[in-house]
Amino acid sequence: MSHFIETRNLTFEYGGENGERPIRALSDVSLTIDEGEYIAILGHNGSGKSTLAKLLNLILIPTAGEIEIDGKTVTPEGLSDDEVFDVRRKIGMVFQNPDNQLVATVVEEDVAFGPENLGVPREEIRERIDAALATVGMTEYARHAPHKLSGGQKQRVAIAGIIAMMPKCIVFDESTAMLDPRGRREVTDTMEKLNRENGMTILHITHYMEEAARADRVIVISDGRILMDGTPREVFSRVEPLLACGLEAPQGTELLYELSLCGLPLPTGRITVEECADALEKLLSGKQGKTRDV
Amino acid sequence: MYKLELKDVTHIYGARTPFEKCALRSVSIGFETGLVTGLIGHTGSGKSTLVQMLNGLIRPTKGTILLDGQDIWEKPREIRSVRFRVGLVMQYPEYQLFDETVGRDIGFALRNKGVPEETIKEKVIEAAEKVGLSPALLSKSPFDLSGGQRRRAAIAGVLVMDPEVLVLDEPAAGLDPRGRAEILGYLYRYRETNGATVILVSHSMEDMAQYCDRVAVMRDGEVYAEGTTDEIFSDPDRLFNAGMDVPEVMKIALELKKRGVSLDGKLYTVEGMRDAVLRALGKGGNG
Repeated sequence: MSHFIETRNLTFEYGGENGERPIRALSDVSLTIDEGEYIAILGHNGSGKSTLAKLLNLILIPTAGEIEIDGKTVTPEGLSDDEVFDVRRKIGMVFQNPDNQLVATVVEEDVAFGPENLGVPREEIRERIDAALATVGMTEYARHAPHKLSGGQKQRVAIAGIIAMMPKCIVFDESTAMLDPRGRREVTDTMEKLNRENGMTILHITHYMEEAARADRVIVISDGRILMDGTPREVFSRVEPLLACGLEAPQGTELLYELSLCGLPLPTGRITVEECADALEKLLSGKQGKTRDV
Repeated sequence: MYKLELKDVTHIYGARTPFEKCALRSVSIGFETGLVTGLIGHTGSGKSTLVQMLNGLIRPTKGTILLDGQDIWEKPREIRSVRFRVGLVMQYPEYQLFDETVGRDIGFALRNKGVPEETIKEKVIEAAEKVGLSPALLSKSPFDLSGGQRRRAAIAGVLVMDPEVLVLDEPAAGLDPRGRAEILGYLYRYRETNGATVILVSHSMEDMAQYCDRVAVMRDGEVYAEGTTDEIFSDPDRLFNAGMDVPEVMKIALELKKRGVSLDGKLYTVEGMRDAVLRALGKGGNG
């Protein structure tokens, strides 16, 4: 079976005009993504992760190598406008700044913007708006003005606008970076719901390790190359290489790692609060048991 | 006496119009000399309004703002002098770079203040060093720098004034973990070397826990809670009520407590938790 997205030696360079040396943002990236996956992408600033996201949505065209999206292959020659349009309706993008993505003065009109441009019939647009707003939990705000919403609510409206175009995949390019803790939770909960309940493919680019830990798969990009690709458990059990490329592990994982450096017998690859608490409970209750014996 | 103090400050946007909105309600809060105070709160809690009042960008509808005990609005014509003493780094300050070279941009405030060119040159190099920018970058165009370097240059443009009070709105937003730690580390050091009073606005509970001596929590235009970092994190429910969170590592401590395993110490940082576990095991640990 073929994959939903497959990149083969995907490379992107920018600059290089006027005899300057081009800068390589992404080198020889080969990876596959299947429909319905929930993937987090991590990487330091300038690692190439946003470049990858823009290549997936054809905002950028590869300078070498190729990328196949749902059976359509994109090479450095690019695609016709119709084909680009076709790919973009399959892969939606949500960006970092909620204020830069909303275009209308009423929430439901903003959500309607995408499907209207796709030429969806009027009655169906109505249905799509209602369904999309319900999915992101913003139904009661349908007639509100977007600029009066909180950051998390604005991002959810932006997501609704994407859902209304019925893509197969949504790429979130640091969409939680500007939000307060509640807003971040709202947005990550929405991602999870879209993946689990609607089977949508989710790519979440983030600097928050705790958010990445919620995905099924984590890809770490460093200096334009894939450094790690595995389950959160696999990736976060390798604390040292993560630190070396300017990232970190979730705090709980880091705590267990630091304690194991102090010579305590602790397992690696524990990520969630419960798992870390389990490991520490075992360690500490063993000790308390011993004191009782003394 | 506080370095900077808000007394019974209220602010209403669009007063006497249909869009009237009360952003701050009778807020009283003081910032002590030489301390880092964290300011947190959900979107729309009034943080940004408060921050813009500290250096006189917004004049409160009611109430007074005291800098070294002096009402900053006593002589409105002289409000500009407050802006040299209270440095404000806005959100995403790198979008405000505009001059031809990084060096000229950093020196802009001093040039406005009428400082001689010679002194400006020295000061600019000094400020660049404080945020880890190499002097070689000073002759480049701001647009040739990376995002992280631009952020540093913008912060250097405020540090160059040697402000007595430094106010930063999300200085590390959008940076990767290493970049975050570096920027916050530089600011921490500025506090150490200049004895400055620092006010840090952030959404990151982890940063609050790591860098702040005191924390103020805003909710719906009011100061909902204020105290030492220890005090604030000792009452997690109060934080949850304000729509905030606690650092991930502290959730582990809370979970352990629920299971009957109690720890003591600064359970809101990784180091604090590590030491608490080590102490509980009778292995010492610092602090």
